[in-house]
Amino acid sequence: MGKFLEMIARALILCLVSSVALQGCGSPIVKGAIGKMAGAVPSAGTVAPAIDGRKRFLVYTNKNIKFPIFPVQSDNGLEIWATQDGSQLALRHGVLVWTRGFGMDMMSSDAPSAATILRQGASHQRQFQWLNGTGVPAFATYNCQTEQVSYDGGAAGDARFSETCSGPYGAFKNEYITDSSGAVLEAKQWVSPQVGTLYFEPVE
Amino acid sequence: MAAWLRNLCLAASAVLMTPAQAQVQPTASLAGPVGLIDMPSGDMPADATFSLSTSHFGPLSRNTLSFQITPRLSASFRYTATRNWDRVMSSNYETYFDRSFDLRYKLVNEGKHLPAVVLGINDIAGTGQWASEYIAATKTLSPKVKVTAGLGWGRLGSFGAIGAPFGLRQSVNIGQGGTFRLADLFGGDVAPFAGVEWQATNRLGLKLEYSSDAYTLESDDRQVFDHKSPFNFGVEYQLSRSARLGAYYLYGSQFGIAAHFALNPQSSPTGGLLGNAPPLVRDRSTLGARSGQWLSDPTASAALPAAVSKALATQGMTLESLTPGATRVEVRVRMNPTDNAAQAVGRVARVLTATMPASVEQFDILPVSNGMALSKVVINRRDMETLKDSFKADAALRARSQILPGTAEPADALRIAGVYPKLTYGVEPYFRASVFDPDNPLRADLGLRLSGRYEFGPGLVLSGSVTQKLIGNLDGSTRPSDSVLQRVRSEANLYDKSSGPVIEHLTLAWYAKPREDVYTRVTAGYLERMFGGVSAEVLWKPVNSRLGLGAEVNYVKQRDFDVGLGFQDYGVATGHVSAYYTFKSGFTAQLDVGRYLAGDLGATLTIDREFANGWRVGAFATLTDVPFEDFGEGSFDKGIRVSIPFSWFTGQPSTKSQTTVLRPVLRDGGARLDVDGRLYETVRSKDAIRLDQQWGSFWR
Repeated sequence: MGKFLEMIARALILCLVSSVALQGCGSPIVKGAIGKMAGAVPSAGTVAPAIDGRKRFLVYTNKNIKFPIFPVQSDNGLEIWATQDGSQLALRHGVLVWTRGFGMDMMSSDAPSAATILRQGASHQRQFQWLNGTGVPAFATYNCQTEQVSYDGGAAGDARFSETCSGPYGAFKNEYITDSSGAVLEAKQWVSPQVGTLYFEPVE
Repeated sequence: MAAWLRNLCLAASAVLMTPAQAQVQPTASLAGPVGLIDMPSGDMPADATFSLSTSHFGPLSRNTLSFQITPRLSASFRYTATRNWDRVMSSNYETYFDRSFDLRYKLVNEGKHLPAVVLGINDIAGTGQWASEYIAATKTLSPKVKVTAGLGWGRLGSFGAIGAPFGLRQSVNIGQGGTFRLADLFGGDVAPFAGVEWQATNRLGLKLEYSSDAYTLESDDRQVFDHKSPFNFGVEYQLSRSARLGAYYLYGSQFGIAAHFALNPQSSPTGGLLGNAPPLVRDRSTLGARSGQWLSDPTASAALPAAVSKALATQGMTLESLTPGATRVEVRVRMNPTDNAAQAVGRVARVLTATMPASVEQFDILPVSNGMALSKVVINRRDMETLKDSFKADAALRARSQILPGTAEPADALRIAGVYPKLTYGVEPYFRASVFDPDNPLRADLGLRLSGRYEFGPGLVLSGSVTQKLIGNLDGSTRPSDSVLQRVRSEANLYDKSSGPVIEHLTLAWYAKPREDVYTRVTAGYLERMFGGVSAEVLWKPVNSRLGLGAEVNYVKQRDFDVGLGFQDYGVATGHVSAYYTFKSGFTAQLDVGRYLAGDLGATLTIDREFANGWRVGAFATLTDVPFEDFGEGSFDKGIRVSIPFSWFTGQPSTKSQTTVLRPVLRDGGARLDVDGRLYETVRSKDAIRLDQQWGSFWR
């Protein structure tokens, strides 16, 4: 029995070894003071300064975490917001068009304008581009339907819409709250099958 | 037997009439590949699945690596230990260790009426312990139930045989192995096998099978266990998406256990890249200097390289030089921190949009390595500005960009201060293992490696590494080499005896790019642990070509066993001409023809499947003029290799990868010098083929 267990232990070690290099492993634990070793990972340093004093919270609903997010670029209705650790997302009139730094990012998307999406009974298509597990672009088309739902909170004229989409990776639901001019005040929007939904929440 | 066959036919006809349903997940057998309990099946895992399996029953332990090479073709490499081998027959070993290699091919995909059908050959070139062939059909009866029926030859035709339709077969005679048993394939007795798989819950699965393996060698000849019944029973538990455990009752006398682990290069544990988001693309409307007048302003033009260098440093990249122009700028960049060339080029382009005066319309971005410009990516700034937020921006930008051969540094390039000369050094742990020694199948050392690199200027590099073992038992090998060739590798264990610091390598290398598509390298010094000398290489590799051609000549002497400064008497001129080709399907091939370290003449063929994220799984084989009997165990040099990028595991950018080379046995024939810095992998890492493969990450 002892020998049997020894064989099992050896076999498991062999399996581990098979998945670990035989030629060497590990990352440098001491780096040169004069220069970095090749392969060193850069520290965060890409966060652009906020362009104004606005601040929101971004809730990563899959992981149940929440962090502040600030606008770092605004151009013709497209706003880029960044978290303090450098993750970014872009909103076109409140509609999410791409993300960076969340894992399976929405690399690009083709969505109708906010005005088209946010109409009672509107049906439309959305197209997404992600990177698959090997780093190759993956595309999907979703068919969507918008409904206005009752909304008691907020100021007079505020409205709430839900956008339900179905496609190759199942269904998702985005939600928007707009003001009387139709501008998106807050929203929950789907990113990808792996990331799930991000909630873009105003600071109270 | 007739009743059994009738039942089998009834089961098969039921199988054929059942409509296709959602598939029960393919699960591994004790043999390693997907199958029933100990029998194969017609199932195959998803394309590119890479699995590790360890299974144990009675005196037998099997550890198996399997890879789904294409959607229809899979291969497995197995290491088996059979204990009590000398129980009734004399043997040099109490435990017999055996290596075997299998191939499986899917003949038919499961359809509405048709079952999935797989043809397999086990132990195709080993000693023959597992030698067998089979055809197996599997049909999904319901989302939770699959049934399998098949016919086996060789070992899988040894119990309940129904005839020998294709002639005789030689009995297994365990010899030195390594040669193909083509004449015996599908020879001898054939016997049916069958089984049922029931996935009772999401995690719990049950299996029942009728085995056609009599275990004649183990049960009759060596008497290491009793084969009492052909029926096997198993219960399996899906621990996680990648791990499955199993417990079994086998052959009426044995309990067994197994653990199976599956990875797929196409499914990263992190779901994708998690590293920092890229710098923002800046529109020129926010920047000044619309005319080229800034060029004549020494303050303005001198500030540019520093600004670009600083911005690239935040990305971990090093700007080597910048050549300013009124409408075009050329930057030469070391893209160190990531193995994703397109992503790195994209980030350089982003930085340039934020730092270049508004008059600059074109970015020429040259990835450089060891002073050699590997390619030139030409990007129009206007395209960056207009496409940055659009759908399929990667393809649109690629259509408007060019990937050209890397060019020489212009005379008016502004070199960045502090890039040369440069010293880098580091200390890291190292782990080195020896596997498959019959006296001890696994030995390993753990220690520290001090490595340093001094770059005198572009392409001239002094580098070295010294290791100090801290703990390990590699020095425990006392197995003497029985090689009749010059012992260029078979005494590798003697290089592990030193307890003090050893010089792994210490070399001076000079890299150059004398012509547009031609790269050269000359390396001198202690080239590897076992050899030192001089190595010279030339490579022709046009940036847009899938074909590369190279030649390497070396004169080397064997180093002393203490891995210090001394040499032994043996010296040899060795070298190869090489052809490299990248197929559109994602496979790469390399053919090396030349003279090996022991003076033998021959060729090595290496085939890899490569993924855009850097995963590589491949195999190699070398045939030389050394006769199989002179080569010794294994007959010729061959092996498999797996390379997994760190970035796949962590989601963080890295150029490091975990490469495992598994050779059944390391002998002296077909042994190649292991010199660092060979040109092809570096050159192709930034060529147009690779950049296009990774271009989807440009905007990442």
